[in-house]
Amino acid sequence: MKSLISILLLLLALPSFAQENEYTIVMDSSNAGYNKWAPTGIRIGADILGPTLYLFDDRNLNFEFTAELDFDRYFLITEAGYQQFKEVNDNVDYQMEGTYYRIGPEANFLHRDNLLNNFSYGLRYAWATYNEKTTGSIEEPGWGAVPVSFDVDNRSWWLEMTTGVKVRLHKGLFTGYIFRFRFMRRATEPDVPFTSYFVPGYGLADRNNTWGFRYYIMYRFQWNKKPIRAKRQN
Amino acid sequence: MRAFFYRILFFFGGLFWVIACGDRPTCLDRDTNYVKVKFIDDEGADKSITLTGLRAIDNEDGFPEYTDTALSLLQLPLNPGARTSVFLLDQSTGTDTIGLSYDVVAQLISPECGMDAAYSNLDTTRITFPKAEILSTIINQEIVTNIEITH
Repeated sequence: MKSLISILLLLLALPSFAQENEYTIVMDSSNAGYNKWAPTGIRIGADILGPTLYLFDDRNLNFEFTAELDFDRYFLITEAGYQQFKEVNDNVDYQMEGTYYRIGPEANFLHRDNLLNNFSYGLRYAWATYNEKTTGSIEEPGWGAVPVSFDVDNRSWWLEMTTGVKVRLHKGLFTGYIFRFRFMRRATEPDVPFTSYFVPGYGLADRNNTWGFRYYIMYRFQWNKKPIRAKRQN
Repeated sequence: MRAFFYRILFFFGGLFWVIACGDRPTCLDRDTNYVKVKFIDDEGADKSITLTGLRAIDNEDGFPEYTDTALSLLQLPLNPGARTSVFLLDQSTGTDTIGLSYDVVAQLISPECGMDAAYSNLDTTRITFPKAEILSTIINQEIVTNIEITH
């Protein structure tokens, strides 16, 4: 972990080479003639970690898509996902499926990069709607295994802090990963006596906070060159 | 130079592929949350009750471990499939009844470990003993006494 932090700090310390190319225009010191707040493209992506993990664990299916719009050094991020978790064994038959959405800003610390690579920090507001079906039994001394069955519709919402990198591979194609810290989850009170177990996009419902990690393949559709600031003159 | 650092950064990111999803639960034997009924005399001292048997309505097997037992603290397991449990305390002098109501919420510990129940809001529906007092409506391990019965 220390190595990773050291590398991140080194990366931030690197000089920025603000040079014009097919993706960027370098603004002069007056910034005249440029609207730096006008979006210049949209980056759309899909998570490849969820489908890959499904190949190794067919209980958990997860698709996630993301879209980013740039405003100077900031981004507006919207994300949508679908998750399904199933487990059938001697103890229980549990099935959860639902969708989740996130929206929030992100700040890019590499805003002078002429390839429009990202090293970013962001916040998200996230929410999920999902259904849980559970059939099993509860054992109590003297009562034996008492069968129970629930079919519950739930809603949940929470906040996230994110950090990650996105790197241009070729032309408009990017790849990148993101770490998430999810916290302050709240949920609707179900009308049946069952406590939610798994929340799509969040994880285990009994955790006060959870961590997440996703790998994305993305493509940036550009309609304008992005104005970037010139290197500071000392 | 910058490309080099990007690659290094990506390498470290890739390591998380390996350690992702290592969150497998460990199934522990859970402790039952009993309703604890304490028997006392008029002066508040422990007073044993001798059971010839303990039964419950809607429970065919009963609780054979309580046959011919003298005790001052009776621990009653609740029925997770209902919101009431009625216990019949057989004694040589006759049968007394303790009827309990409660809220029960089922929870999945994990698919591997199965389900559990959490009880709360304990109340009495019927008690044939002369005097009974609810000391705690919470049902968990830490509670010493839920109901105190004077007999």
